[in-house]
Amino acid sequence: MYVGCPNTPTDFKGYTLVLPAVSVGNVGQLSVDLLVTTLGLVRVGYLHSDCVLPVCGNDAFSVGKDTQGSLVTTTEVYYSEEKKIVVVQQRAPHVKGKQNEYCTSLIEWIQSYQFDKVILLTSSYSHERLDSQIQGGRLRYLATTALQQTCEDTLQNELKWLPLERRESVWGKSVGDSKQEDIPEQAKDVFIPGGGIAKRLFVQGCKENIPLAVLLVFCAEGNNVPDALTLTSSLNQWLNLLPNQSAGTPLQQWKMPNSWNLLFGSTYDKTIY
Amino acid sequence: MATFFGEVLDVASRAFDADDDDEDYEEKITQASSPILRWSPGIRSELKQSQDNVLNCSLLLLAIGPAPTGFVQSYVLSEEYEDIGVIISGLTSKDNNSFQQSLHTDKSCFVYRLKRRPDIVVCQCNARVSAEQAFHWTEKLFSNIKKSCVVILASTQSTEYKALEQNQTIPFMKCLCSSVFTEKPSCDYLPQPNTVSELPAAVLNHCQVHSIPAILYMAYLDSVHIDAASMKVFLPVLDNTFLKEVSKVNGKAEKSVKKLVELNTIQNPLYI
Repeated sequence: MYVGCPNTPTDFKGYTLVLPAVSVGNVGQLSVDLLVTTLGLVRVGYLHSDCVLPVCGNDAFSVGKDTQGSLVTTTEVYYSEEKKIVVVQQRAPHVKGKQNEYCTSLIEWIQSYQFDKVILLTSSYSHERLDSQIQGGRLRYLATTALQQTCEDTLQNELKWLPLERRESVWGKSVGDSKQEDIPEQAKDVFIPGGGIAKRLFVQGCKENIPLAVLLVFCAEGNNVPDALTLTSSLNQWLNLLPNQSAGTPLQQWKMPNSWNLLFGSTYDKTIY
Repeated sequence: MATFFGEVLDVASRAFDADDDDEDYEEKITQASSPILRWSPGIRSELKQSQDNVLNCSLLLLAIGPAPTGFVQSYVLSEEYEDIGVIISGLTSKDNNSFQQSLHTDKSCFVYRLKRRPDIVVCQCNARVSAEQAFHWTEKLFSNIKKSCVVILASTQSTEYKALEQNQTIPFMKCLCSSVFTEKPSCDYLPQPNTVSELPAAVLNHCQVHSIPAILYMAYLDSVHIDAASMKVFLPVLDNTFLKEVSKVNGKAEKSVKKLVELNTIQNPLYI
């Protein structure tokens, strides 16, 4: 699945891996765009898989007027040796029916490269919130037991983040429901509507004892740039990626790439009116 | 989501398909066939004799869609060529295959080789290869073709092109190339935020990941049916090192273009 670029490091032991899920508003992917552009991460490889639809384009992370001819493919891996971080950007949805296969391959890659911790950025439908979730912050997190051992204190006490509330299925548990019995205790009743592969990956992460956290914001489809800024800033509070001196609003802290131009389509010919 | 009149509508997300949560779906994955590649007997014996089961190929020219295949038919395949293979994908039990690309359910893409230049392999892909099949289709094609330069020709509607100022004369062409491609492209790079998807993207991604020099020329057309202008927009591609001596802009090409346009017009008599 992972194909490294020529002459690039292949040892990511102890690094933090950040992944997006294709979710409502594409918030995870927008977040990753901000991370790669602002931190100037360098491409180190590709996740070449038949589980994701193909897409390619030109120079996704340039800023300003230059248009280089540097190709970007469907799923690419970027890294920073200084920050000890590896970031994956996925630009297309999964092939229908292949999400489980993708999660399995991803888990195998994570285990073989021995990442210190894995953070999945995603989002969830804001209209599916419980009454208690409508007020207050829109950020929630989930952590596997393996990650709770090292990071629970930081997440709950220092950052004061709220864990995602568990929700029992309204349909109840059917008799002999083997799928429900397969799910480990820590992953039971997790409900992330609109979150893409987040739930699947979390369940598999619990089974395989991966130090995985899922970070999500509640949002609706529309202009999701503010949601991405919220998610990225929260991630930065945890991982301290930006230098301390950079104060100001998230809009000032994070750089937006040229691939964000014309997010809502081309301009129209005004002479038709 | 509640609307003004009080009825509740399902909210659709551009990023996320609600069907994806249905675990039973995995068992219903497309019943269409996965890609099958068949080489001609001559090629099969050539492959057996070669060192690592690889065809001797210095240029692979892949044309995807009616306008690119029409262009290649007129300007590159105008001299003698031989059929060397076929890739079939996406056949369902209800499809009939004519092997001559004359039925609308045809799902075959043919591979040719020029008799005068057997190191140039041409793949004419007039049948639509779905995005889900594109990855495996590409793997099949490249299973016996390695270390050659790749040129991909594709086309799409000009309405897909996103730009701040729409002042391009349609049809026009843009390109994308892999990082190890060293020749100068025959047109401008595709500017952000435009993207390419489906089979052309799958092939270019494969070349990028495996460090194969490749270039994709994407034409933006305004007509649904092919016309002379749609095919001639690819003319600058003939400046490529390998194609220069092969193609000759001559009367034969013009006749072929005219014939292809006529054939297409006969099939679509509604608007003349």
